[in-house]
Amino acid sequence: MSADGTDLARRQLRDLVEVADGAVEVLEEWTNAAGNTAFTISLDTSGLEHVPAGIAVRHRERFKVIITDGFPFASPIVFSVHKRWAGTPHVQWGSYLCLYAVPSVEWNPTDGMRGFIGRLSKWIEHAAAGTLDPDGQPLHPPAVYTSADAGRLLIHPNLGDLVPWAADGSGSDVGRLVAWCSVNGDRKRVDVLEWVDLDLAVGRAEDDAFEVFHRGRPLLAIPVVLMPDQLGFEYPTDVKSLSAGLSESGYDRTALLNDLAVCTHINRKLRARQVAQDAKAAGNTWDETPDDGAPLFTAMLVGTPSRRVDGDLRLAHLAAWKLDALSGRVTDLFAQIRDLRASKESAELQDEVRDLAFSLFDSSRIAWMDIMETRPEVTRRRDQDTPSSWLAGRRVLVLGSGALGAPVSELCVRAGVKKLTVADYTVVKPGILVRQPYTDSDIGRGKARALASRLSAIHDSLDIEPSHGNVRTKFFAPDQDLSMYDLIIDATADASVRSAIELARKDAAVRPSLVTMVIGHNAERGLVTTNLPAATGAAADTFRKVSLLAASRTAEWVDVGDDLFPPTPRTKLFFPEPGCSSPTFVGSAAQSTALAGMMLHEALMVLHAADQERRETEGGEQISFASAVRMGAAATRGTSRVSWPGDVVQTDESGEFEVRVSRTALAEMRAEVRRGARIRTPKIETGGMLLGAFDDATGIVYIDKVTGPPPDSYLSATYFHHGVEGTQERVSAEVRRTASTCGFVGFWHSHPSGRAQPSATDEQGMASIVAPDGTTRRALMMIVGGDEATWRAWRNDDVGAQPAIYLRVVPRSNGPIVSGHPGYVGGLNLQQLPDGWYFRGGSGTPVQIRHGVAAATGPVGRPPSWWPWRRRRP
Amino acid sequence: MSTLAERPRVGLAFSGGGFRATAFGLGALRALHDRGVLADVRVVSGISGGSLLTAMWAYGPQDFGEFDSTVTTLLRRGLQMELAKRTFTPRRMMANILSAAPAALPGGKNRPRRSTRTEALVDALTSRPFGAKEMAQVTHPGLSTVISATDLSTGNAVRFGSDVSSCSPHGSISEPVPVADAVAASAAFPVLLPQLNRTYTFTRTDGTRHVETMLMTDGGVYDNLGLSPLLPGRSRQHTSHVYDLDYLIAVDAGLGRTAPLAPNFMLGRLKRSFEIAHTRNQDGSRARVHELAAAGHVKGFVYSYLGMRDARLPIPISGLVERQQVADYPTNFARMSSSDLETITTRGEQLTRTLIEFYCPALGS
Repeated sequence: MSADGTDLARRQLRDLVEVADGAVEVLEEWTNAAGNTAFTISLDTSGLEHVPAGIAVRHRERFKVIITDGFPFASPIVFSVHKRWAGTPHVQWGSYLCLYAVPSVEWNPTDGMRGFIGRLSKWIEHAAAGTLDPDGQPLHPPAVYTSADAGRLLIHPNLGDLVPWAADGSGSDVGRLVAWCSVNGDRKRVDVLEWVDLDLAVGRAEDDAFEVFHRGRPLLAIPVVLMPDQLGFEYPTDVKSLSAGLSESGYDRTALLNDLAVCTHINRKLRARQVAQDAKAAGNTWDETPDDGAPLFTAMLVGTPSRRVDGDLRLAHLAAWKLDALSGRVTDLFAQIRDLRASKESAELQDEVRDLAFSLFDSSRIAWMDIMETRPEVTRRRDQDTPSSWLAGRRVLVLGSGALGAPVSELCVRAGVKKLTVADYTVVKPGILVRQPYTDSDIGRGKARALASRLSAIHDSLDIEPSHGNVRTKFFAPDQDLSMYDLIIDATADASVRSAIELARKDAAVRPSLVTMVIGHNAERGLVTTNLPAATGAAADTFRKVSLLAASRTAEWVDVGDDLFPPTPRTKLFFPEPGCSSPTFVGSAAQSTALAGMMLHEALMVLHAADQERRETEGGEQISFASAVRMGAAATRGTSRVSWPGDVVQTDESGEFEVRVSRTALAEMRAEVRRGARIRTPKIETGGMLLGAFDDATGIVYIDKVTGPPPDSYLSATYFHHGVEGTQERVSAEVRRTASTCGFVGFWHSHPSGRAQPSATDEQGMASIVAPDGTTRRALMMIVGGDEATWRAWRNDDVGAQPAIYLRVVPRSNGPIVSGHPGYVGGLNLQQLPDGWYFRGGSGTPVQIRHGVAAATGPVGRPPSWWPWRRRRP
Repeated sequence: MSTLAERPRVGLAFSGGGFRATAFGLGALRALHDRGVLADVRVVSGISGGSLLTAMWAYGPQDFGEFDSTVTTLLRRGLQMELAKRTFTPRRMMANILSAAPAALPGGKNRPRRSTRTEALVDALTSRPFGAKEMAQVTHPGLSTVISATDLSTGNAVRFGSDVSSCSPHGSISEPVPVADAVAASAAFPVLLPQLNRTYTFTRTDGTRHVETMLMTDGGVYDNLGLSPLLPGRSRQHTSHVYDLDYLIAVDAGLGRTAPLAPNFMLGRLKRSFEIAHTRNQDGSRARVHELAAAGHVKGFVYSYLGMRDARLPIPISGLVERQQVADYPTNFARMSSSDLETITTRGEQLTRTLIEFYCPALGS
């Protein structure tokens, strides 16, 4: 050991003694058998609070403190000088005090001996008060000194109700079971696959048709005994003490030998078939044996109610005793004799072998196997309650196996998905090794296949399905059933894939959640969108919304717009292999992998929250989400999040288009209706233009916003005539502002408290729609109306109220075109407008004029009392 | 993160600026009403002319149309004549002379003037239903109010509110405050009206009580936008007015830096100095809100500004009332002509509606 460390410890101890005023004394310094310097110290432990369950502490207590190699980087170890505390928790080998559960966190080299003595005092205080294992906290299970040579056992299934004790650990029955295991001889690894009762296990062994391999590994049965009593705080190191302990709890050694024999019988049967079917896979016995038919090894599992995760529930703590070669052989012999036909001789022989076995057991030491718990009941997932826990047990499709898709797929596997499909159409090339998780040997192999085979190795039980080919045609062909996935993650960054998903999702009966991710041109920003099952819209729709948000120069989104939706396409594209590769972003593996993780986490936050919240409330939810994540130089701006409620979705009369009216557009429409009711009286129709876009690829019409009636419009209770003043400017401004994302789509008008159906006048008007630019391209005609109650509820802003809506996409009109003729936009020809009093449009004070007769400005405000309140109903 | 669509929490601030501010604010309220945003307003804050509108809305009729007509009626009739009449009633005149004389004598500096033209404003406001209410009696459920004045003796803001009325060095006011007092104090623009004196019992955070006399004048001296009580990140330790808001809507009836004739007289210079101080103040608050919006502390910010350059509108508005048409309307409480009223309210409505549509499209949907 280092002399420096010892000196330091000695000096620190001396300093402590000096200031402690007798509370700490060093009685002796000596060297132990291993050559380490040790101190016997005495601590003042008077006046401690003490309960019967705690350890008994005298006024002063002496301890042996051994300064280990590596002090101060490794903590000293400490023993009590007596064995009075043996058998209490956190006292091992009778006198070793377990001070640090997690030395890497709890031991601070800087604090040295001062920290150590402080910790020791705390430990004594808690031990005296019986609070080392506070109620409801995880219980420190008994110490079992294991040996890796004995092999390791992974325990997968819960024991649950199979334990013989009550929830609080009380009970007097002994439980007997069989652990059904698969054995991997390479690292002496044994996986417990299920718990079965003895008869079932025997039945399986004797059924020649029963499969004897699990995923290519031989099966093996291990007897399990579950005892209602604790075996003290240390497990015995010799078989004699173990069997004595088991006997005391009502499981005598005859029963023990019998259960071992039954399992040996089972294992011989299984082994025979395994060797016959596939000798190589069957493997070799762990211990040398002359008998070819002997089991791979013989072991026994012992369970006691000594685990507590939280609350009061007592769970089984399991230890596995692997019999040594000789004990195993004797057990085997005993098992074989048991199988002999019952006779006087065999009975005598059995007694003889049993006695031999007992005497052998009495002199044997126990080798305990390493136990690796994965039982959900006693373990906690390291990602428990995080958003990633949403993925556990889900069926996921990841499109794209590149810089985003490959890390995302791996994260899905780690989070415990039930099923994963990875899809990509490209092969691994040398250049992508810079940032995608593939190897030199993968070059030339389909990415999806290479990824699937690597990820399949993460979990023994998860098969990952690769799909090499065009994802658009394979997964999103018309009438494709998407219900086989809980989540689709589109990491292709491909606009045509987004379009295909948009179309497929529009018509799908069941819509899985959809997550779509892309990264910016220099891998400093990522945009991820999430569409919940309630959203008909997919990423093409949501990306559009984000780009409009950026176009409106919303402070948080401006940089995202400049990066991902530049008004003019980037001219400087990056081609990693000029001439033979598609353009891509410039960025490192550190960047793209970090962004992939951040984006997935953002999406999972949404999915997780949606799951939690749906249980509490229905309706009124946000269903489409977008987050911009930033790193590197952009990171200081953090993450921006935005969400939208569902659009009002309705198919147009022609059945060709799905029209998505944004909530914002509907709110603007209502604002115009309310304004009209306020300044012109509620009966007067109003209307304006619809701004948005036609998407022929997906058959969707987006309505993003609406305008009000231009000042030169004519409005009455029966007619709405859309003017032209300012319309061209308004549309141009919109087109310019949004880089053509949003433009003229059609016209809307209201039928206050009337049917949302076109009147004869409307039909006439629709036949000759002229757009603000004077062209007669197709347009969407929208009418909002509804019976008195519906209309009033919507106008008065009642929760969830909506008007009745009529939608028709009017093909290129072939009526008489008088291009740019004032008062000819949006339908009804001014010449056809009946004579009478009309309100004018505009956003200012209401003005009434008389049309047809010499146009004169009428009174402001209410219409004259002789106004014929005649409504032409459709 | 939540997937629930919660109603946004909106804070609304009306700047000072006499009847110009009241009328411009009315236009903004019309736009908010049409857009369905009013129901989401959780706090309304007003200064001076804006405090008059704040009070008329928050303590006025429930129905928007009725409220609208009480405001237009007041604006059309004006307050100036009424103030003059009320000031020169024999009772007021005597009281004014009796309190002004000792205050002007040596050693009378701390003896506040008791009866002033501002008291006449209190009387005028009290004669109207909204003014007779107490600050806690807000008409609209779930709405809080803040009406700000400046205390000349300590130089601090006095914030009257429906939840609490307070002045930071003294604590919170224990007595119920009449709406008329709060509005009159907030509207006492130093150049036009004398300060309003009131004595209140204050309770400090530690529960101790003490009595102080406040000499209150126009709240705009301190913060002419009325925005500061609504800003996020305020500490409850330093102020009683902390509101958790998603959107801020500031309605500012200022004109920005115009180039008027050089003021050659003392009163003109004084007025000009106050105007400059107001403008500087506003620039600071506005910049701060923009920063807060960029940093994501608020979801959106609408700044509806009478003096906004028309070219800076996000889209053209046909039939827009241009800046030029309202630029020379003064900031007093004289009766408004119907055309002035119409142009100023229309501009307020047009700007507010358009800015919400572009910068806070999710509001009211």
